[in-house]
Amino acid sequence: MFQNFPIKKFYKNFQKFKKIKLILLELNSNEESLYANRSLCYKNLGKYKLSLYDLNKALELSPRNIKYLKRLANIQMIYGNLGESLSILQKCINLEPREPEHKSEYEAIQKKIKSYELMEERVNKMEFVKAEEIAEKLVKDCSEFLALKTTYIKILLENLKLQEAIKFIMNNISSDEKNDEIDYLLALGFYYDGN
Amino acid sequence: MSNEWETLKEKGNEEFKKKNYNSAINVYTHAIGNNYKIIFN
Repeated sequence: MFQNFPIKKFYKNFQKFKKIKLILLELNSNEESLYANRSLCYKNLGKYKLSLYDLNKALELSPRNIKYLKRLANIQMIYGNLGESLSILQKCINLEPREPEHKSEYEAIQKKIKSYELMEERVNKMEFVKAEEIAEKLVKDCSEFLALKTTYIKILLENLKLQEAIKFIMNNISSDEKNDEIDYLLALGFYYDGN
Repeated sequence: MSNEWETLKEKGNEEFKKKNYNSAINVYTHAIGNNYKIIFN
């Protein structure tokens, strides 16, 4: 019942009442592993916001933990925060300059940024078939990046892949993410599809 | 108390390995909630 009780906050506030002495005893110092493990569970269930919250908690307690930093870089990528992901990976490189894996992951994110820029260029040039190829790959990696998903839907509609566009909206846009633009694109898909 | 905490953590890890993520979340949440003790003086 009290599992989510903000005990640390309560303790801080309680300290203002000097008359009563209160001692908060932390029983196990490696609590961050629990937050990190729970974060992984949430991630595997596709609950990225909760996963991010727990990962940040773990990093508050252990800010130089490479494993957690890399997981954070990955979640930021899923959200499409590619610049943030890069700076976290740069931090990993700074902490472990001899580890080649950090550099290769850094380069992979750099590649994604270039792909994103190329996709935008193709869209601006109305080259929707070429844009679709790039967007399809990016959407798989950045599954919570709403602006990218919206662009992908527009590309599918431009390429007259109406059923695919409708299916994508139904399967990949959560009720939290839905907005007027998505509703309009969905209606457009149905309209041109003859429904 | 510490042993109980370790047991919970292990149980959470076992559930995780079995891919029972919701069960693992419950166990980890329980362990996090039991990691502090308030003493009034």
